[in-house]
Amino acid sequence: MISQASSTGLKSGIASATPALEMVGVTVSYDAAPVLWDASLTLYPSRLMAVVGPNGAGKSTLLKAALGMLPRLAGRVRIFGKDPSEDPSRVAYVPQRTSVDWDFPATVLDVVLMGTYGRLGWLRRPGKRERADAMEALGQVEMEAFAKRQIGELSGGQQQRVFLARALVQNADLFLMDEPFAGVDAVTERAIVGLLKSQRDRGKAILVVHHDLATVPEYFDEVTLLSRKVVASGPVETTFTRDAIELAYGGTVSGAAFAGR
Amino acid sequence: MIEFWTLLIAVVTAAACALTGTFLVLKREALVSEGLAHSVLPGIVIAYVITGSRTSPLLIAGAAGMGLAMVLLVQAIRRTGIVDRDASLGVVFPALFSIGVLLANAELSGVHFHADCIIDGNLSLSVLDRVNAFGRDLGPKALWTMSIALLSVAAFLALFYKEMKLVTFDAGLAGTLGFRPALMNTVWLALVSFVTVAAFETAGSILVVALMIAPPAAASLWTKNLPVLLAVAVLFAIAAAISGFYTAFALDIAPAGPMATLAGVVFLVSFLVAPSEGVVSARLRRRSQSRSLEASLLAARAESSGPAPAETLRAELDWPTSRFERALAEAVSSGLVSEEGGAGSTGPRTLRCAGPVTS
Repeated sequence: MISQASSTGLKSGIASATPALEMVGVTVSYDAAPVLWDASLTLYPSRLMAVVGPNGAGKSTLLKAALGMLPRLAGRVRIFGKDPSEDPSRVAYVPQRTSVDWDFPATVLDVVLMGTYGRLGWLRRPGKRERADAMEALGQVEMEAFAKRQIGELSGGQQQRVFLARALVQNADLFLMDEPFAGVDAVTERAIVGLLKSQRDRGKAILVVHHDLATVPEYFDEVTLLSRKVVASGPVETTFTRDAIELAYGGTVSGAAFAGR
Repeated sequence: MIEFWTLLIAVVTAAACALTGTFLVLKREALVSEGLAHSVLPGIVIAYVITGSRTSPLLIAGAAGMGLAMVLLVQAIRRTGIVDRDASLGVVFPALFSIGVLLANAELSGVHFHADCIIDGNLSLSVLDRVNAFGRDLGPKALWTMSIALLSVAAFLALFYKEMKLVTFDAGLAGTLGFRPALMNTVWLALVSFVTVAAFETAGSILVVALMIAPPAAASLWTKNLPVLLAVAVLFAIAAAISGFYTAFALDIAPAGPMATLAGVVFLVSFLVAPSEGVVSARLRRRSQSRSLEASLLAARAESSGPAPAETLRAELDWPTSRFERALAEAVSSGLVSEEGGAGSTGPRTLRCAGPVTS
């Protein structure tokens, strides 16, 4: 018992010192032209970070590179000090809502239960405990009443809530979310932001690909401005400046000049 | 007795194909079965040339391996992004099939491969090829092959149901949770390839595709519950196999054609009358909805203008008489509007709103 308690204490002690996500000089290229160039950022626990940038800036690529889903041409990714493949249970990835087929025959509960598959491992099926966890996560996103509903019957905002519940049930320490506010109504957007902030306050690190510059200061603690390379990354107060924004968004307007720099 | 064996082979083949096809349909990769059914042909011919025997299990292994290699090749081409999903299938499979046909005709014509056998298979003859062991007749070889195929697929799905569901729905999540979607995909395609090859001899390429795709596609119109969907797909396939078999028996023709046709009929009927997705049911539903909307509109009109002559309301709504009378009948029968005067009496028809209009 004692050793268990002290090891938990040790773990949380390390967690506050070790970055949840550390990317150093990450370069990804689908073809000859790099989509992500020499990107570095550091995200600590209890921080909520936005990734913003123009279309084609490599925002989704950055997330996928952080997860180790894409081969890196160069650079290093560490999640709580380890290689992304080493301990997948600490990361929850919320892909773009449109990345899956919502006509798939599954209920809302089925999809949220998928978040428990990681800890179940191969062959074991979700049982009572996993079901209870999934229902609790659905409660957090106010979707309990929809548990038995077919996913095909959901609105965009409801789909996003289901994805969020699926990430919550993974019980991860780092959330990587791709455009969670895309095509979502204002009520859902606010609900999701509230939930993300409460997760942050519980020590989670959250990285969100975001598209609305106006809400960045209100929603986030930190921001990474991306335009194939990282233009700036850090606390919103010091990083989210007019100059940095113009640099990021002007960068793709004169793409050729920027790429040559 | 021969009929019994033939029917049993057909049923087992149908079940194996439908079970396999369900996940192809869910992955929206139905065309893969078409491609497989064609591309295994050169594999069969080459394996035949090498082994010199058409009963060797190596023949099935070789052909299934060929099929798997081809699907992986197609996926590799797809990943390059140079051509899209369907085009990459279209590039690889017809080329392989034509190579297979060339090989079969040039090297081996008259030995085993006839064009109609490739398309229709030969269910009736497959019964005659028996397995003998310990001096006893253990039934047709095709039944053994198909049963092994069915059991392999059923066992795989029973064991890895959770993983297949995850990989099919969200391969990205499967990857981040450590479930190796690429490996799952390869193993699954190897099984699909095996089932295709096993069914190829008895069913022929067209029937394999029909049994793999039509029953699951039909079942998906009836239910959105995955275990139920799997069961319904298998039942539909078995029903098509049995009814197709007896149709063929009655008409004294080869069974593959009627079986494929009936699988198509099952889909067509589902497409028309399935409760939530059927074309006819959807139209009926829309019609009844628009009828009740018309009745509500009429009642709302009658409410806002007070008791009024029918003709005035009709003019206000600007509806043709037929539509107006239809809406009026509906509104009266559902108690939204009361009608005074009319047919029996001499006075003008007056309409009155009978209660609060909710619409």
